[in-house]
Amino acid sequence: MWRAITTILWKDLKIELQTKEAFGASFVFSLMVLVIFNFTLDLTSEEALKMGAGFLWISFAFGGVLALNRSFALERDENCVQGLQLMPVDRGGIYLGKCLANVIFMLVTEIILLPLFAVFFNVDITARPLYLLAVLFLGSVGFSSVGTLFSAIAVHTRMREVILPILLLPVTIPVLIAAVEATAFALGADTDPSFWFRLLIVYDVIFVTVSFLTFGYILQE
Amino acid sequence: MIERKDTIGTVLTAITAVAMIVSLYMVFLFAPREATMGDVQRIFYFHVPSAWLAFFAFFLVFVFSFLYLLRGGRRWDTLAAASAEIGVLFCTLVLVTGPIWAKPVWGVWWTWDARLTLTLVLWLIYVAYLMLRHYMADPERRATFAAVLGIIGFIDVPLVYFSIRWWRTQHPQPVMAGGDDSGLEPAMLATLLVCIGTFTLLYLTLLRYRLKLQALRDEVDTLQDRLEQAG
Amino acid sequence: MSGESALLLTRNLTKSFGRFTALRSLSIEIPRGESLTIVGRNGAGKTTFLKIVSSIIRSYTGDVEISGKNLKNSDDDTRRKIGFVSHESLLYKDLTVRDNLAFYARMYGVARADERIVEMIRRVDLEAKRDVVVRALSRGMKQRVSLARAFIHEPSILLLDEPFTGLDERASEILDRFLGEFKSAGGTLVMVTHDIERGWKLADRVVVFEKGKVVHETSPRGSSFDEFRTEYRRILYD
Repeated sequence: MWRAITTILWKDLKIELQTKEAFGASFVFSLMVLVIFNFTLDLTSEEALKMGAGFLWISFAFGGVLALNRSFALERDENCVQGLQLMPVDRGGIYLGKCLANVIFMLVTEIILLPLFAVFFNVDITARPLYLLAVLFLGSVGFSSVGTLFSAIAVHTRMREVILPILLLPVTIPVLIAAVEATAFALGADTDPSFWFRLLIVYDVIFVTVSFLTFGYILQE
Repeated sequence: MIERKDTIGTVLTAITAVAMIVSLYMVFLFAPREATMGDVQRIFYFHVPSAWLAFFAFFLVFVFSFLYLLRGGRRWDTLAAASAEIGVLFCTLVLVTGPIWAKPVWGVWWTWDARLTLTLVLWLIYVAYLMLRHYMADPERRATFAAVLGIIGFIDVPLVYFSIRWWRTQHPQPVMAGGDDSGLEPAMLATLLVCIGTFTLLYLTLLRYRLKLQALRDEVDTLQDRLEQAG
Repeated sequence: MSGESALLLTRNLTKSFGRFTALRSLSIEIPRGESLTIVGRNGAGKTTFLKIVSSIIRSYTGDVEISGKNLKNSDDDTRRKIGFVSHESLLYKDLTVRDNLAFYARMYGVARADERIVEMIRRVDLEAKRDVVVRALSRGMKQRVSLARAFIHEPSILLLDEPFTGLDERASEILDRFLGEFKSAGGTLVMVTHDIERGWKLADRVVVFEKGKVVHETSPRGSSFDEFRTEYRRILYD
């Protein structure tokens, strides 16, 4: 199983390094969302600090959907999915490998976006940096866990990429709520952090487990 | 072969029709006028049962999906699809009757409190479920994928509810006076229970007809195949 | 190819897709080392049969056994023995030839993978292109890489789904060679094809699928190609 996870992760990372499709699309789109917020809302920097956590996660979520779509779109080419179906490995291992790759892609986008966010909205992001990194990681895991599963589902439908956000966004509302609250704390808000962080961890465990267990049904014919 | 006579369906429809008439009588004539809200409060007798049935229907989607993955068999998949459709119907009713009731009583069309928001999210999740089914052609694959979604969707429900509740404690909304179950008179309680019973009967009737519809569709498909093969 | 080979059988194998039944109570036995060619018109169930045997399709009624083990209870070891050649390449267009083979080698747990990869690249005559991304290869070269992919883990059961369709001469030649080596090493081969001439030449036994059942069985040892072709045409146009 471990071999499957690392090999799939290696493959997806290598393909991404070659094409930079997932990162490029999700970064540019996330950036655009942030910019549009500025035009439609015209905030003072005080307001931006209060609502910043929300903006960040909206832009991460939309960018994340683009990256997730690509995750299985690349398997559809040349019917590589069939190659995966034939392999003598646990389906769950394939899921975990892909999920990890998606988490990494999301994280990279988020980390690069953060300083830009700080600049555009004049927000100080260095208040509690370790907490910030932790939230980014936990939130991305929660989002990518169901996202990877739904990406596999979406690839086999007629609507492909369009159906992924429709399926994913309602279901990941708990993760987004918790991530936004925890991020607000990480950006300097005066709230109790432990509750939302613990909740994020619980959600991550639930979503990863359920997706891991049901992935096999999606991969078979 | 197609049966011309559907006894169970007819009986069910008849019972439901009778129950509806009884309920309408009770809602408009039997139940007393509510003190603070007035007659508009009678929407409550449609709103609450719809909500119960929506949740019940979605719970059944979870059960049928689980059974499909465990045992296979088209029956479970058809039941899941039917239950989801009826659930979305009732959920829409809740979302429509809610604001109609809220505006005169609370002065606002909508609040983002836990229950209302959950209902909206539920509606979104199960509409997505129906969309997924709509955009898949292969019946076996569609059943499997829908079943997975049905399971995840329902597991999500408590998570969404509690997230919103806890989030609301950080971002409280103005408190609404006169909740819908603050002190129910026996007459009102009786009316409510009768309505819940009626809506449950309605659910079962709709479910039955939906299953019959699917059977008819399958029949048409089989006949079509035979025609094609006969050349 | 490894010396280990396998026995494959199905008992009352039935598979439906919605209201369409692809396989009806199909029972067939393939002894180890046999080369079986399956022919029949589209929709006869040939590809479905291959997909079930290779574990791509996992829900069906009936029994499928490989080396005496029921496929539904078997573990990864059984799948490791199976190789699949299809008209699709199953390659990642943005990875190099070497990386594609490395991926498959690692997923199949191939021992001494690096050596094996080098060997396979040499055997399909693509050493010059080993660090080129598959997207940049010509169609014929891509097919050769796909062959390397299919054989890299030394399967003892080989399943082929229209393998010669669209292959250029070079790739065809290489496939012929691989198949020859595979057969003499004692491997078991099941090939689905529309090219009945080629199928006949490579086979120990030929079966005709029609509407999910075996309707005709013959062998190059027992009859001539012309006899078979006449019978086959009769079945198809009946």
